[in-house]
Amino acid sequence: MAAAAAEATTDGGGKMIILISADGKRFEVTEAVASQSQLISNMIEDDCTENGVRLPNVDGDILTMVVDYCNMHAGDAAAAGDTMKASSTEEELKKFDAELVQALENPVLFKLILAANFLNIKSLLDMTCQRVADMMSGKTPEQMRETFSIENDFTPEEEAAIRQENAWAFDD
Amino acid sequence: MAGGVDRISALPDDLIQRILRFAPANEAASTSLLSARWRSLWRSTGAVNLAVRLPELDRRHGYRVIHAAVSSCHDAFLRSAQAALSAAAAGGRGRHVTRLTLDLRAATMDVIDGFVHTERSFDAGAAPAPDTDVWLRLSDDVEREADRWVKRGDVVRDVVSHPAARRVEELRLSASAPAVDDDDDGGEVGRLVGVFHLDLRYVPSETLRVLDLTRCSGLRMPPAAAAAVETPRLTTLRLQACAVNANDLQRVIDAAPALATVHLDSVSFDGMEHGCYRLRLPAATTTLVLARCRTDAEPYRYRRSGGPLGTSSVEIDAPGLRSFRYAGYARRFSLASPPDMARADLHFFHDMYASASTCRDLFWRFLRNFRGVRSLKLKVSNLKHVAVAGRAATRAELLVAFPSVEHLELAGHHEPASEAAAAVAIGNLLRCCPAARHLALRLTTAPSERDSAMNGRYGCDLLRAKQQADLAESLDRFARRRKRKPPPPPVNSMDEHLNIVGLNGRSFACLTNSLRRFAIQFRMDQPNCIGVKLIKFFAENAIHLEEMRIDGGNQRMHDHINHMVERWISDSSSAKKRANHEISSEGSCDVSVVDSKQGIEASTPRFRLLPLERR
Repeated sequence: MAAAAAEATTDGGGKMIILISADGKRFEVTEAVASQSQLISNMIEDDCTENGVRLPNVDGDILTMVVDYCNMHAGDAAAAGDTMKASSTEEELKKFDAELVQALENPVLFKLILAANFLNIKSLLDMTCQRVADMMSGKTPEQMRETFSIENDFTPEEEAAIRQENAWAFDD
Repeated sequence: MAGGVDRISALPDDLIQRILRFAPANEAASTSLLSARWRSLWRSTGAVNLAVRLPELDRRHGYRVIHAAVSSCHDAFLRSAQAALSAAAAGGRGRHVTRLTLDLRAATMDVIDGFVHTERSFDAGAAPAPDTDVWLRLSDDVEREADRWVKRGDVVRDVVSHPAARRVEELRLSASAPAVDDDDDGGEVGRLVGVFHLDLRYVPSETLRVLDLTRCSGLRMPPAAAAAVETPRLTTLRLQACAVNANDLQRVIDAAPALATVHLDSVSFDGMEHGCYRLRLPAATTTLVLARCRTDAEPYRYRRSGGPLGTSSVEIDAPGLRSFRYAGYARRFSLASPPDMARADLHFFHDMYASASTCRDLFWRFLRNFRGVRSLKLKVSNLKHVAVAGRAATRAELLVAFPSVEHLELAGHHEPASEAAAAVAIGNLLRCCPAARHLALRLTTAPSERDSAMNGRYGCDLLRAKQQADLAESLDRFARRRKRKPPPPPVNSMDEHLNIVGLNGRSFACLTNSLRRFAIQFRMDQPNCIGVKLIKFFAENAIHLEEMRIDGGNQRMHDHINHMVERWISDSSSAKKRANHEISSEGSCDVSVVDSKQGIEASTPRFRLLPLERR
């Protein structure tokens, strides 16, 4: 990570920004990479990234993933003139994205969703939400409860009523 | 994982709804049963994703069985589609379906076709079910039959024109069947048979932002005069494995002044004039992908002999283009784009019919359209096909300068037997890009012509297996040889071997002025293969090099290679008295680097040497 950041400075001459996670880990990234977060992009515009950007609700582990993702997708923003990082092809990006979310345990996946939402990185948020939706696909409500540890707080009568109400969704 | 933020329930409602936006309609609705909190979250996601999985049937089952099965799927689909759309739009003011997807899957396209065109109205009960023999009955009355064809059901039309979807922003329709979903990378698509049509008159157009179609066999757009359909907000148009009329597509694009991204993958066009495909994009369009598309009107067998596979010419007018990707045959091509495009990514397929000089000329003429581009990525079937050697007049005619290219990438096969040709091709590009800062070469060893003509996956697999066996064998032999005689051969005789015909002794502006990073991927099957020679060449000649990344196909080669590279660097740098830069390395070649570092500390290596990241 640090090496990648250093390269970027020597190379494009783009300004560097320091991101600080909840547990105090520091990440140095270029403006172009960080701007994929709408939150940070706004901060850059308002000139308040001088002393590093503190992200009190994002853990270092999660921020590592987010920074990896942003580094990989930096080439996407065609406008980012000075990113001379080898732009990845569409296939490479797809593969990277798939590998990133496939391997995640549920708790990490939900934390990543929260981070993507907080940092406002739409593509990452969509991708992680899509992953959870894919996990729902083909499952019965019982299986979903098990997958996502959801407690059933309905009475049998209530449950029957809901089944009745949305019968179309349950008949297979 | 009890409690805490570990559970989905820890997410706020708006994020759960965001997740449900991507879930299939039935699953989304069945989350109402999970718990009290979930009971009505699904109702206000604004999305309806209709997923249809048709039974695994094929022709052998007979039409009657297929029809009955498809018909029952159709009934279930109508019920849930109707309910899902109504539920999403219910609840009063401001509630609309903004994302609508229809995903049809079956074992064969025939089954999907039967499903899409089942003769039954979407408004359940409005039209009685026809008798099930209707598919088989051949009427003498052709007119009535034609009429039936026109009026037959169309699930897609019914779904997109449902009142609940009248403010849709994102519309994605796709059909897929495993039997036809081959992603053969080696050629352009043939004539496609899609399974559904989409007439844009039925699509709510005012709010539409994204239109994404897979396996659509007809995108209809009424001529502007007849019934003007305007899509003022459409920014993304994506067609995959579709068959469209060129004029229809042009009308769709003309009606979308804000269109930013046009992605055409495996699209088969018809309706072109005089073997020329023209595409006119609005100024808003910054990204265009034209991959594996079939723009040839005439069948391949009518080609002139020795002529290229890409018989049609392509003319694109894109006044705002920033990024272009092409995959297809080299063909006559012209692009009107801004002078400072950001990137071009061009992949040329192997054209086994065209003569060598035709291939080469088409390639370089194609490239001319990108003279102002900053990042140029090229993939060719064989480097020797693009090499321009010989008469200065030919070189002057074909090779033009790309003064803005900073990032240059070249991927392709090379043949050990015609190594010089590959080197010439690389030299041609180096000469054309005097300001290149980054260069990446990805070289693969070419299969023989005969093998590559052996089409089909089986042939490819066989070839791959053979290559791997060859590699394993040569590595083994190499390793054993090294064990037997640890001291390397005398330095001078070895280095003579490693001069590369076609590059050595020539000077290139980018090497003396701009090149900072060099990456190379190759298969090191011989200690004097082209990859090693190129490494030596760049180590000695690229004056400002800061970083070299090497992937020789096998980690065990690294210590061998690193050792040599360091020697070349130190030789050339001590000779030229260059600044001292640090050598650093990662991965399995660490040991050798550290070892040799102590040995050559005094001799001032000037750039970093890293293993290439595997992608």
